[in-house]
Amino acid sequence: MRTGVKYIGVFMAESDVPSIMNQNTALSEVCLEVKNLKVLFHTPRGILRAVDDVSFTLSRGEILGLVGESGCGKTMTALSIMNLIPFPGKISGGKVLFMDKNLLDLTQDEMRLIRGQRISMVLQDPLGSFNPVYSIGNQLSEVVRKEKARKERYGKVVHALKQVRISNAEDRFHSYSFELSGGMNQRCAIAMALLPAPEIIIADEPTTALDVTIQLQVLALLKELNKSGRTAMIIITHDFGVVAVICTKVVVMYSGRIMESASTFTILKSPAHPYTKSLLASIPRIGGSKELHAIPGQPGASLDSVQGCLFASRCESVSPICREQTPPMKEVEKNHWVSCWKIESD
Amino acid sequence: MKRYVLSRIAQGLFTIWAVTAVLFCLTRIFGDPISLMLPLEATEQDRKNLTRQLNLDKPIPVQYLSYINDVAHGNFGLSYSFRQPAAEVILKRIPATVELACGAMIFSILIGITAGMLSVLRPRTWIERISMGLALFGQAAPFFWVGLMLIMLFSVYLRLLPSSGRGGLVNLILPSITLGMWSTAAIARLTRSRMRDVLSKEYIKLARLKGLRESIIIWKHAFRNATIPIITLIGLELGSMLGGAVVTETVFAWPGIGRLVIEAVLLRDYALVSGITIFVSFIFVGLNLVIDLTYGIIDPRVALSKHRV
Amino acid sequence: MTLIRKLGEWSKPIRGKDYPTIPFLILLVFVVTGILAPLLVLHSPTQVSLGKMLKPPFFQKGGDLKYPLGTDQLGRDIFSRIILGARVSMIVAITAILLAGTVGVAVGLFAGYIGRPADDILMRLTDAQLSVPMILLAIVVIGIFSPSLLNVVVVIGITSWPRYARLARSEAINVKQEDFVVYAKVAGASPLRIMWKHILPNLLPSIIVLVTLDIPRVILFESALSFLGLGVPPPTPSWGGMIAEGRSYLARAWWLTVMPGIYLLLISLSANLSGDWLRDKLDPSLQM
Repeated sequence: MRTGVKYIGVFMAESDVPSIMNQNTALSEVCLEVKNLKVLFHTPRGILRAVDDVSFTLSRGEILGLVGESGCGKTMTALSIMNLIPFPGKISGGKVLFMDKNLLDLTQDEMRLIRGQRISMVLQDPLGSFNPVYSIGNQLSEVVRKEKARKERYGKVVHALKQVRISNAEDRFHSYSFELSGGMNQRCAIAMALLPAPEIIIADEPTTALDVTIQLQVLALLKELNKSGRTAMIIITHDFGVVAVICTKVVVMYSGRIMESASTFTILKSPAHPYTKSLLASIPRIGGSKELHAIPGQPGASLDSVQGCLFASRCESVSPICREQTPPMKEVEKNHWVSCWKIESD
Repeated sequence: MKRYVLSRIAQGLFTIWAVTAVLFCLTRIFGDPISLMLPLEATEQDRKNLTRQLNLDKPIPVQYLSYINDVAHGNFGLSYSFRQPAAEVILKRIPATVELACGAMIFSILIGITAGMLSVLRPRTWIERISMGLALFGQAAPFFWVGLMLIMLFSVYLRLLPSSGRGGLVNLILPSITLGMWSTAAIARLTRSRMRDVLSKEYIKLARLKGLRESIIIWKHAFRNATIPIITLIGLELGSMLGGAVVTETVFAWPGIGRLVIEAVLLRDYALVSGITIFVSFIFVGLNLVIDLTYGIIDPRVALSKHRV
Repeated sequence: MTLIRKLGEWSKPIRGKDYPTIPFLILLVFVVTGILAPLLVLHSPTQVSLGKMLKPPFFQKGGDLKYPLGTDQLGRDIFSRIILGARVSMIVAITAILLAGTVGVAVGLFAGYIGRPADDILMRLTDAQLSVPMILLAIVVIGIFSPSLLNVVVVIGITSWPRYARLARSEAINVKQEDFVVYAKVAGASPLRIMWKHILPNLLPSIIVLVTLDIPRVILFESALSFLGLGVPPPTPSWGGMIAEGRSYLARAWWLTVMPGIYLLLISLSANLSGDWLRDKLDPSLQM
């Protein structure tokens, strides 16, 4: 008998979870470690905490899911890794260790060697990812600009396009983004991200702008690329369905802070934080209850001055202490961390 | 694409025709060229002769057709004040205006785009403030007065530059600045706003995430996308410079068709006035056409789309 | 550096207030002087006084506080002439824009709402007119009909209406797709009623912005025409005309050209800044 979790029809057995989850084995090589990252935005209305004391690790071959509603800081976290926080934001604390080097200490010139080469990114809007006046091939070639010979570059780009299952790759090289569908554009964007054989690919809502049928194709592609190249990935999404399909571990964020982090299997099986539980319950299920469960209130970054647990105002199981003090991160089971006062009292 | 070209050409021809029609009406109805051309002691017979000679006794539609025919062949009639065919007078003075317009255009493009780019590349610094301040000044200030102020400063007090007349390159400086002032401001403002629009696009963000050099991002990716409306503006400005040239040539006593128009109007030399107006319209229309066609080359979306919205 | 920052700040909203105070103040003064002009003059602006020719402004040697900005070559007080010139500019600007705006909006609204074939014809006309440089058109028309206040207003109106037509048309096309227009049609309202009651009010914000941005352009246009001698005829003082007259005295009596020009510059700058502020306030995405 298979033990496991049934989740929107995707049956995930415990054995499906890669053994890389065991942090103590020598096989797992931590390539990215984010420690106590803090990003503040200085706006006329006050100082907003976009990212507040966020920490997580990413090992080779892992696919990390960064989950949360809009405005919770997931994109800002990704941009912090690349050190491209736009004005008026500023990284005000923490470290981003990539291969044991703090990326935040690097100069812009040094950082440019990493961006797009060793850590690359895929964005949400496939059509918007490409400059409409240049061909796809032209823009993919930019990523392999180190290769001086034009023919070699062309060859590499075409090979990458083939890897992402673009038919007629030789012709597609000369196509423009507006000539291709959303799904094809996104696959080209993925090709662009994987072309230089990076250690990490960060995908920010890669399937949100695509048709449902295409979404699964793209996710399957990402999973395959991860398996074959041992490329670590960070998938930013608000959709637990995406998480269930490809992520090996999950970090749930709210208002800039991490609420819960665990392996995908664990989180789907036994979510601990009320927010995580609400997110999972909000997804309509065939055969589930008739009423749609919604989380009252609005998500978003909070002002620097706000005290206590940031989810308190929308939490079902809120208690007085939640509004006064921020709950610490506690390990409730192996590699399952939660920041919630309710866990303390349980 | 071809349909687009044809429709634009048709539009242009219609415009020129409309201009000729309006001029024809205005000059025939309100002008009285005969009285102007004849000396005071002319007799009734002289008047009749001249009328017959100029075809002014024929019915209006016939007159109009022969007028159109003449214009199409480049014959704008006889300029009574110069005692030459109007076309010749115009052609002789055109080069001066062309020179002035070119000078002003080069000035506007160079300074305008520079100012616009600087304000985008150095936001929130004094550079941006000065650039945009100059843009505001260029747009709001009465350019003919600024021209006079420039003359006062550089010619009268500093004695560095000549105050009027056409001649060498030195003569071109002040008039170019004066004529180009407004366009410089417009180009600067448009460059800035277009660049800001483009720089907020997703593919620019991705270009940065790909680790491209900032200069490549700005020039290869952003600028190319920003230029299209800027080029349209440049074309339009060149046209409006033909109007501004009238005033500028007056200020600097520049011997171009701008000043010629004023002289012709004051002397009621309608052949010359019509001729210049038609000629200028023709240039303006032709210019716009060229600009529109250049679109197709720069923006592949236009060339590849099967129909024009 | 601080001076530049200061100058920049004068054009922006002052602390505590949301609008650009100084430009507004200047415009207010302009309008008031325009209306009250005859009451504010120090001396008759047309009175020739040969004994007092070419007096410099009061702060220069030989100046007189009685003629604060100096006198011109006919002994007329510059300050008083400038005040009256303000009135001319104001009258021309208001009437010309009213004319252009009314005609333009009517044409554009009609074209935009009715659609083809009226739309095509009217737009060809506006495009045709936009294809001729405005100043040239104005010069030709005034040249034929001789300069006068009325002619100046009419001519500026004629050259300005296409912009309003274009704007009204594009906005009308947007608005006519709104649901409330469909409801009105279904309820049996006539096209005229729909245009007047439903579409027109929705065009007003952008029209108003265009008007405020157009005012400085029209003022400058009128002064350019006056400068060329094709504007309001003498002896009525106009800023452009004063500048033209002062040309010959550029070396000897700088105040003849500088003074009216400074006023022109101030008014134009203030109008531009106010117009920009209004546009940003109403809708920063307006394509002007």
